[in-house]
This record gives sequence, C-alpha cells and structure tokens, in this order.
Amino acid sequence: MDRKTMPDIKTVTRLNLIQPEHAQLSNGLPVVIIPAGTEPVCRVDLVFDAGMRYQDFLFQSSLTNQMIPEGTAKLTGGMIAEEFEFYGSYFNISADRDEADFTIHSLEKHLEPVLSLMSEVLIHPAFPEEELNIIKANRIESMKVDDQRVESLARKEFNRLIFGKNHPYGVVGEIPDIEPVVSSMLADFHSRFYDQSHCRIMITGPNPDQYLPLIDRYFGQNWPLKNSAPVTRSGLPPLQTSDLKRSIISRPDAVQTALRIGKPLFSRLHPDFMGLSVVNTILGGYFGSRLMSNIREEKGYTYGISSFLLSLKDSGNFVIGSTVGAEVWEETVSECKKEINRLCNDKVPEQELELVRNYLTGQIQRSVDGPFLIADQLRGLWIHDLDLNYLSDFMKLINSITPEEIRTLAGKHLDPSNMAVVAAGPIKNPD
Amino acid sequence: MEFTNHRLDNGLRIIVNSDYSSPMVAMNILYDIGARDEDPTLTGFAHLFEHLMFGGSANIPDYDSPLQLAGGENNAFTNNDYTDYHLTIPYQNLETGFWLESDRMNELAFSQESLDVQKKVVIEEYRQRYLNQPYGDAWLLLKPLAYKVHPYLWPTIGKEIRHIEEARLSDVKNFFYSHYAPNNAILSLSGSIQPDEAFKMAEKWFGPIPSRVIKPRNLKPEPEQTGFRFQQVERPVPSPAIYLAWHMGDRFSREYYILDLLSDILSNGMSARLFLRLVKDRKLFSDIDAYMTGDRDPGLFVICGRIANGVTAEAGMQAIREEISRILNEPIEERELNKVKNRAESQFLFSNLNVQNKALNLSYFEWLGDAAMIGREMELIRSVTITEIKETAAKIFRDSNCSCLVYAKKEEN
Repeated sequence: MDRKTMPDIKTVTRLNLIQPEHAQLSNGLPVVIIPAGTEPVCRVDLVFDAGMRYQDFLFQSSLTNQMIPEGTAKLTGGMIAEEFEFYGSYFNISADRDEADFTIHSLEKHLEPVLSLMSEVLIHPAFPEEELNIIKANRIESMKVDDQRVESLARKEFNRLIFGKNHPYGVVGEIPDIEPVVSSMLADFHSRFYDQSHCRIMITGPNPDQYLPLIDRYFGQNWPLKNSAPVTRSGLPPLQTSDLKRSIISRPDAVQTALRIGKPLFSRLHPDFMGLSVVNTILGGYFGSRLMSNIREEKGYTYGISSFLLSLKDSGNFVIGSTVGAEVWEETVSECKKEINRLCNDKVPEQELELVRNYLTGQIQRSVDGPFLIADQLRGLWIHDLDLNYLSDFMKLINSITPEEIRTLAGKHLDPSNMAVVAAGPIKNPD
Repeated sequence: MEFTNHRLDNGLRIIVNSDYSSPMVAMNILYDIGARDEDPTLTGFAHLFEHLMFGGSANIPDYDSPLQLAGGENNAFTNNDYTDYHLTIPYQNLETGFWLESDRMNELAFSQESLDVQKKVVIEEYRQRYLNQPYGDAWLLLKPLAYKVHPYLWPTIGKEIRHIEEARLSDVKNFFYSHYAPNNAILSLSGSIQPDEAFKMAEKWFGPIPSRVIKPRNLKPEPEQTGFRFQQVERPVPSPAIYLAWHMGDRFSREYYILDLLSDILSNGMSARLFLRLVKDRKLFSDIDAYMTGDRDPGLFVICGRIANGVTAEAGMQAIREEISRILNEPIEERELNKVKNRAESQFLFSNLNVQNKALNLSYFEWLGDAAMIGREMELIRSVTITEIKETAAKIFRDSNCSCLVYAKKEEN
C-alpha cells in the first residue's frame, strides 16, 4: 500500500451555524437564545458592563464580582455555595477589563431553583465585611505566589508598558492596593453597575422555550427597573504607551526567563483585525507556526512559544509570549524580530498559506462544535456587538486573503523596532 | 453513550460512537505504556517518547503539517499508566488521520536530530513546570516518600534531568518495538462517522501493521507502609505548605468510588468541608484541596494546602487531623452525601458533551477492561453509603499509612 501519499483532502469553506434568537424580558432586558445541544443540560450567562475600566479604586471591580455570591441578608456564602452544589450546578464568576460575568451551568431539571437562588444572590448581595477580609487575605497569598513566577511578572510589566501604568487598561493592582478596599466600596459599585441598564443575558441549551419563562420570572418580573438614570459609561482615555522599549526584571533565583514582546493595536472591529489574525497565526498562532518551528522545534530553547492578538472593547494588543532557557533569551528576542521581519518583507509561500487556511477553517469549525462552545464564541463577540456571522465572514476572508495582502498587513502593523520587550528572569545587571 | 466495537486480526481494538451533531470526528489512540513501565535508570522516557512521536514516521517526515493542512488539530499526554494521542478533524478529511496515526504506529523515523531537540524541549518543560514555580517540585519529593518499590515512585516527567539527557537513539528504538503496537493500543472515534466506515478505514490503514511482542509488565506491588513518613524542605516560598498522602486501593476497587465521594465531601466546591471550615471559618489555610491520584494500580489520597499568613504548619496539620476525626466520629448527613453524588452526576454529563472527551473516555474505559463500564460509573457512585465512607476512612487515614511533606519558608537574605 502507498503510505507515502497523503489521502485527498477537501477544503471546508462553509460553516453550518445555529442562528441565535432574540427576546426581551418583561422589564426590557435583552436576551439571546442559543437552541443547541442534545443532553439535558443548559447554561445561563449574565454579562454586565462592570469591568475594571469603570472602577474608582483598584480591585473594586473584581472584588465586587467575587463578593456577590458571598452572602445576602438571609444567606451566608457557605449556604449559597451548598445550595448551588446540591443541585449539581456550576457557578462561575469573572471580571476582566471591560465586563463582569455570571455564568451558571445547570441540569435542565434543576434550572428553576438554581435561577431563583442566582437572582437572589445577584440582586441582593450583602457584602459582609468578614467574608471580604478572608477573600482579601487569600487573594494576597495567591498574589505572593504569582509574584514569584517570572511569567506573571513579565505579563504585568508588559501591560503597564503598552497601555500606560495609570491607564484603565494598563494599571495593575498590587498587594498593597488590596488592603484599603472596604465593603461599602463594593456595595456602591454593585448599585451603579449591576443593574438592568448594564446587563445582557444569554441562554443556551436544547429546550430554550422552557427556560425563557423561568428566566423572566427571576430576572424580568422580579427585577424592576431602577428609577434613577443609568450611569453613563466613561469613554476610554487615550493610551499612555511608555517610551521605554525594553524592561528587565531581575530575579536571581529563577531558572528560566519569561519574555513578552509586543505593542498596542486595536479591537476586533478594526477593518484589519481579521487579516492580521491570519498573519498572527502564521507567526505564532498554532503548533506549526514559524516561532514554534524556529524556537522550539529547531533550537529547543523552550517548551512553547506563541503570539496572540488580544481584542479589548476599545483597544487591543499584539504579544509574543514564551519562557526560555536563561542563557538564550536575547537570542530568542532577536529570532522573534527576525521572524516578524520575514513576514513584513517576504511573501508567504502558497503552500504554507494553504496549510494555515485549512488549519484556521478547522479551528473555526471546532470552536462552535457543541452548545457551550457556541456560547463561548458568541460571548466573545458580544462585547463588540458582533454576532456569529462574524465567523462566516472570517472563514471567507481566510479563503481569499493573498500573500501580498499578508505582507502588507504585517508591514503596516507589526514593525518590530516599535515593540516593547519585557524579560523577567535570572538576568544580572539590569540596565 | 452508544458505541460499536471491533478487533482487527493484529489485536487493535476499535470503538466507534457516531454523533452527527458534530461536523468533526475525534480520533483517540491510547497506548498501554506509561511511566510505571520505565527502567528506573531511565525515567521520564515514556513522556520523552511521546514528544518523539511528532518527529516524523517512516513514510511521513512531519506529522503536524499534513494534519493542519487537513484542518485537524492534535495533542497528546503521558501519565503513570498510559500514553494518549488525540486529534480532531473535519469528517471529510478523516482518512488523513488514519494515514498519519497508522504510519507512526507502523514505524517511527528514529532521527537523532529530533531526539536531540526534543531532549532540550523536555528539559525546558521540566524547568518551567517543576523547578521555576513555587511548590513546583512537590511531586518530585512526595512520590519517593510515599512509594519505595512500585514505579509510581517517580513522576512522569522523570526523577531527574540527567535521565532525559542520557537517553540514546537505541533506547528509543527498543522502547518503540516493545511498547508501540496494534496489540498494545486502543483506537476510538466519536463524531460524524458510521462504525462500518470506520472499521473499513481501520482495516485498510492499521490492518497491515504486524502484532509485536510486548515487553511483559512485572511490577512489584508496593509493600504495606508500616510507619509515618515525614519530610520537611526549606524553600523560598511565600507561605508554608503541607502535603499529606495516604495509600489507597486501585482503580478497580470499591474503595476508589467511596474515596472519590469522600474527596468531594472534603474539597469539591465552595461548600466543601475543608474550604468552609479551615479556609473561611478558622482562616488557617489560604487554599486547600483533597483528591485521589486516580491511578490504575493502588494510588494515593492526597490533602494539600497552603498555610495562611501567621499560622504555623503544626496548627494546619492539627486542623486537618480534626477534620479527619470528624469524618470518622461524627454523623455525615444524607444531604451532604446526595450533594456530592449530584455533583458527580452533572460532572459526568458535562464531561461527555464533546466528541474529543467522548473518544478519550471510550478509550480509557476500554483500557480499564471494557468500554461499557462507562455506562455503569454513575450507578457505582450512586450506590456508595455513609457507612462505607466511614469504614474506608478509618482504614486509610492511619498515621502508619501516611506520608507528609512540609514546605517551610526560607527567608531570603
């Protein structure tokens, strides 16, 4: 038999997408419904415009988010957790720079009691000071662990450099910033941002028609509109990107050096974002990327290296990240720059581009393969008011972009001489 | 989960779950070879070998590029017991998966260059995960404390970096021919594929690979521990930490299911006992966890925690003892047991939602003995009683069955 020849392959050009439906609760809250899945499980996402960019004090946004399930007038944090867990549900909270999320995964059969509890917890949190002190103390302990990891030192410094250390996207809270936070600050943040004018709901599961009346009972009828006008969302101040292009953090005890190389860019809404995503994939966005082939597979300098385009609501960045052998970090930086320059100067060979096209179209299919993955994708696009059609458009672009366009995009946005380099590791004599 | 199975003449076992809600097919190959099968002077080899499986096979110089060209993605992992390779690919291009996986099962390229580079990559992995993290070397210390004879005494990454540096190409060849073979592997598929179609493709691509003589497994069982074992290390960690490990039964024992629920009672979720009592109420730990290692041979039940600021390791240890004594001597409410059972049930449902997990689960349970076991797991969990939990806890939570590792805080000058 012929083992040398690869079987014929087909390029997938069409994406079969489930189209979400739209509805409104009786108080006017917008709801998106994703009818997907075959198992009797469902998910409810509540998304609030309550990210760190809106906070008046460091940690105000993330601690408000974290403290919401820690108690109501009637229930302690332990009782709340016990009730969610008794029904086999999974409750996740998170807050990033733009938004704060409440997500619940539930068995269909227990959705009602879970929603009832969720609405009680979200609408009437008590922010007990005692619980806050425990959370602060434990957060400090885990930050101490993080501060010993060169990866997190490099990540924090990179953020400060590219967005500005006092900018809402660049500021990084440190241990001393946690201490002054008290529960009245959290109650205040909650009352201003966790309301209907800052909330959207997404429901995913095989029988959404059954969930909608339940959701309305607990987040529509039970949640009357506030009389006061919604707090206007503050616009983002201009970036305060540092002129410093190189920052070295010396940690004599570390055995490796963590690297971040990159620059501020723009959000997914920018017309070049999709094309640049293809450029990024070629450079460092998949296992066979140029950076992986060069730094890991040829030189063995690292366990992994990758590049990434981050899209925030009103900005974004490009970043390469890796942890490398201490003695090779400078060579790794110059190799990264060499690889970027190659993308800016030479056309991508057709063969490599075809591989990346097919890999990316496969990734898009994988990214919506299953009800909760579809929800994840839509959740990521929601922040820009985009819908799942974005993925079909991206698929079209992937199949039509040319080597010349790729070179142009790289040259336009990825000038390596204009990037910040952060290295944290056992480096002597920081300059 | 419905599935159909089949065995080729060369011994390869195949299991197919058809799921047409997905445009993809997940393909999983589990080889019955793990770190426990390694030579004690060449540890970390099974994992290093997993890296080499991506360095090209006899007829295909590069594994990743053709797979990516077909829109596929893959990964692999090694543990104490087995090595697993998995890929997902659009169903239209499934044959490419068969082509790639069968060629590397048939014969690797055995390239010196690939060996040299992957040794460096694995050494960087060793440093990144085990040496360059606070508490990163916990398992490098705890395993040889708890095990004296059985090969679980070394971690998958290897006892020491030197073993990885010393690996030779001749070792790679020997390892391949004595462990990688159709009669030592399980192939499972989940996604848009009919069983007959999958069996036909398997016959075409894997059928011609000869069976091989598998090096017999002859592992010495770990003798019963007879005394409390204690080790304290000083590290520049932010706070002290405690690791306690007790020997327990193997994957087939009833004990496994009982202790699975007990570990959930202790630490699964924000309402679990150790978190509520020791982190929130008494503020003795900033973080605490209880779990089983989940190995096939007799494994470990572990409780580990980071001590809160200003608390001593002794006070932390005493509090863990008190919680264990409460399990033994105070009533456990039905509601608490039902809570962890409900949680186990939903965890099980959520873990079978995508084709990749389904394919892995089918391979894993077939490796344990029978893929149909997957359908009986919940029943087993549901049948555990409070009396069994108390009896089993009394059996394993003895000092003479316990190994204890303490990280003391070394002050930096």
